[in-house]
Amino acid sequence: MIKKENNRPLSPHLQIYKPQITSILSIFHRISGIFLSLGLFVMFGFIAFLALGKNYYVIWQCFSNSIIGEAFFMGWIFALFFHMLNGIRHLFWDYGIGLSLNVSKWTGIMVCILTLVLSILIGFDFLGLLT
Amino acid sequence: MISPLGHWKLQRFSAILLLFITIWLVFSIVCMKDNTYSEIVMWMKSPINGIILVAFFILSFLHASLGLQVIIEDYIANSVIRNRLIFIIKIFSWILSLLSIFFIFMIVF
Repeated sequence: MIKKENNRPLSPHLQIYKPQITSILSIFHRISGIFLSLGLFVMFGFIAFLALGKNYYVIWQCFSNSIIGEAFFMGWIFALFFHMLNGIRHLFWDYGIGLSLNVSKWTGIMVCILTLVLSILIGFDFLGLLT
Repeated sequence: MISPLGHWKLQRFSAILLLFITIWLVFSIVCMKDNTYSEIVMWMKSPINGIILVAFFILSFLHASLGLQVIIEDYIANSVIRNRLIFIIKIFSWILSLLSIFFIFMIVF
């Protein structure tokens, strides 16, 4: 019984695919999801330092004002917008909308463009690079 | 134990809610970039902000653990390691989401 279970096929691993916009975005949906889980852990850290009081909140500010903190924020906002926009695409697919090759290719390109525009605008605005 | 269909539905349900909550969150973060400690605490004490923030943490930890579970199921072949990892992620997300609610209550009250 155990042996049988261990022989069950898994998803095809990434090296097998010929890169296409649809497969690349699908892979990045997962990678951005993993990164956002890490981001959620950092946000948990923010809430924790905030709850511990003013003296501990300084530790958080040291992180958020550093280059590492700002780079992390840019990565987070980029992953967030990508995961959100591509997630909307996934939700439409669940209703059977936009599944054809042509439409999924174009919505994929739209997701890429919108992600870049939104994350650059909001990320730069947050870092004070726009004003 | 959640059924596979329940898992699928919960993932979509949390995704739709998080879509709106996250837009609100990003907007709030950008608006509050220069706020001081007491200004952030004041913001959190407003009931609407506090409730949505609690919802954000509960739904995010749920959505994240459901998503990570699917990735682990797809890429970890060894069933013992796979089940252990899923178990660890579930426990971890439960503890962190309960702790985050506790911290928000600590800040608000």
